[in-house]
Amino acid sequence: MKPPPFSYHRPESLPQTLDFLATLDDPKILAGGQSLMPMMNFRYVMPANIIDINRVAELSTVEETGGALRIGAMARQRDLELSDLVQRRCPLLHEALLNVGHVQTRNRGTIGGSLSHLDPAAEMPAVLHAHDATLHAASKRGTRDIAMADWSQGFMTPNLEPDEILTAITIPCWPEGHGYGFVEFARRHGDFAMAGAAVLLTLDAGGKIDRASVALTGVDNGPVRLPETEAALSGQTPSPDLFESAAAHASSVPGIEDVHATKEYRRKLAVVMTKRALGQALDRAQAGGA
Amino acid sequence: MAERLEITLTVNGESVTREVPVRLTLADFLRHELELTGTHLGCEHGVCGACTILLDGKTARSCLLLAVQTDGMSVDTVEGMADNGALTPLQQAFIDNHGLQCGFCTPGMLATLTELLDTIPDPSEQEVREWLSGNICRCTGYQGIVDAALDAAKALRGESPAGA
Amino acid sequence: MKLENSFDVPVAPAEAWRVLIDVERVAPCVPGAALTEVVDANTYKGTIKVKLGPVSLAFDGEVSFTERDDDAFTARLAAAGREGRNRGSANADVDFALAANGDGTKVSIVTDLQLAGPIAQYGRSQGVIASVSAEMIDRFAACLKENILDDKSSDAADAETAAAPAPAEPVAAASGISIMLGALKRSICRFMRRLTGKE
Repeated sequence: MKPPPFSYHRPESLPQTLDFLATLDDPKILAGGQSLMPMMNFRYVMPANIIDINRVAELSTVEETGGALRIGAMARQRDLELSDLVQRRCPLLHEALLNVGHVQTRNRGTIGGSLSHLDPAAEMPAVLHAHDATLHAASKRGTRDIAMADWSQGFMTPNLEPDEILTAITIPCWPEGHGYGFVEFARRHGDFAMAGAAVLLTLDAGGKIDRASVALTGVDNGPVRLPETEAALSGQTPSPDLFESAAAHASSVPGIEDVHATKEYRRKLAVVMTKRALGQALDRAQAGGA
Repeated sequence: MAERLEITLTVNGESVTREVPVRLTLADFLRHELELTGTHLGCEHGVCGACTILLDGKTARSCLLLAVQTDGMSVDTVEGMADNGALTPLQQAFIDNHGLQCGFCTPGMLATLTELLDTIPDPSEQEVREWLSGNICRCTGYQGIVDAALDAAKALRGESPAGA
Repeated sequence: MKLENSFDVPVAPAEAWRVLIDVERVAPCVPGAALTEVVDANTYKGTIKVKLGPVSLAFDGEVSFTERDDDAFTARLAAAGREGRNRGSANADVDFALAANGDGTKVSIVTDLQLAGPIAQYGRSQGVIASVSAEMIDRFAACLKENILDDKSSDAADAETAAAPAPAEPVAAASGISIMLGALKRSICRFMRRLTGKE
């Protein structure tokens, strides 16, 4: 239960970090450590070199620019949770963060870490997928933008080259007063979700659904959008029956089979979580996003 | 680059300098280097909360921190809570409300509740339970701990004498 | 865990069999595998590398035919390997059966995979071990099929041979496993990265 030997490096800047990534053998980035350290303590992951980026200040900024939130990869989950800006402009992220681990882990855990580690049950990838976010990566060779839809390349494998690091995320904001809902099912609060749904919703002047975005977590290697659900909702008058039939499409997700739940159970959960999140989002949209 | 590093940090208000292996966790540093064994190891992968300490005033899992990461920072453990033997209102509330039996989870509970009460001086029972969700207790069934937290909150707000 | 796979080839069982039991030829079809030693006619030593997200595993072990019936076209291959960094071991019994299917052959592969040690407990991803194993066997089957077809076309000097990739190359697919294998190849070739920045 102790990490194996490694060489430790602590860059003070992004250029220094990129240098390390390009030149060190078998490097692994240490950010919040809430996912990497357990794997190292178990010796599942045994990197030769650890690059501790906790002193790289330029990766922690959170700002609004051109109708989008630009969040640095090292922004701590707890800081995002408490951020007034995030709560106002991306309330779905705020809502989802309340389900991420516990205060003790959110104090250290980062949004970049969650995205790069890409646990199948992680909340933030689903939120970003619902928002059609863009991820920004950098290496000594330059920078690269990756659409959230292209981020997951398989089980815990993000679209990052070995010499690249995620530096920031751009989240397009939905209009003021938009509806949002986040519901996940776990055995205990803070446990890994068996399935979770992230929903964004806007209504038109006549109360019909103008735009809907639905993303699930816990049911596949990466977050899953539900285009059929979204299409079924678009332009329709919201009602329990509508949500019932729209959410039914969630049962077609691949599902994950493990000791906590079968594929079948996860598919059932996916439908229920989608319905509940849709309900939450509708309530908020009708209340003007309160 | 480095297999051992010299670090200087503040532990319970006192400056400490040591040369340590880079792979030494903060928990092991506290327990073995500084012989502050109040911080306990339950799972060593961040889920039980027994190793929870305060790092620059915020709770963190010491089993998931490398000691070398805390260079220049301040760490507060259970040993630093009482003032020359005088228990804090939170510690006293634990005694009064039977908030511990074997005591293994207690230092982590105290760290978490310290941050809770710093953040929310008047927490509801629901808030207390949510904050405690990251600390596992096998003995008490949590009720005594929750009572202690609410009791201590009252005492810290001056609404009742500590230890009443 | 039990994994089942099957595929069809347009050749007679005897021809398909010939390729199948040629271990040295067929070993490169297993993603990440390499033969290191031929111990005797039935026993081989080799290594295999598998990546489960951030966890890179490297097994070292032995593979041997414990059963083989050249008339009935059935065989059992027993594979046993230890993970190089003390993270456990893997044992697999792979049953091959060929059956005539019209003019062609149906190849059935049933794998009984047992993992022990830390890798078996890789907690929440038991599902992923099953799906990574299944994908590896899929690729193995596809590559085996190519080899059998290659054999047939070179035998018959058939002009309509499709340009089949060499067995060692993973079959192009936009699946996660090919990216994983790509990542694996990159990490192996890290020392040669100076040549270009791209694959």
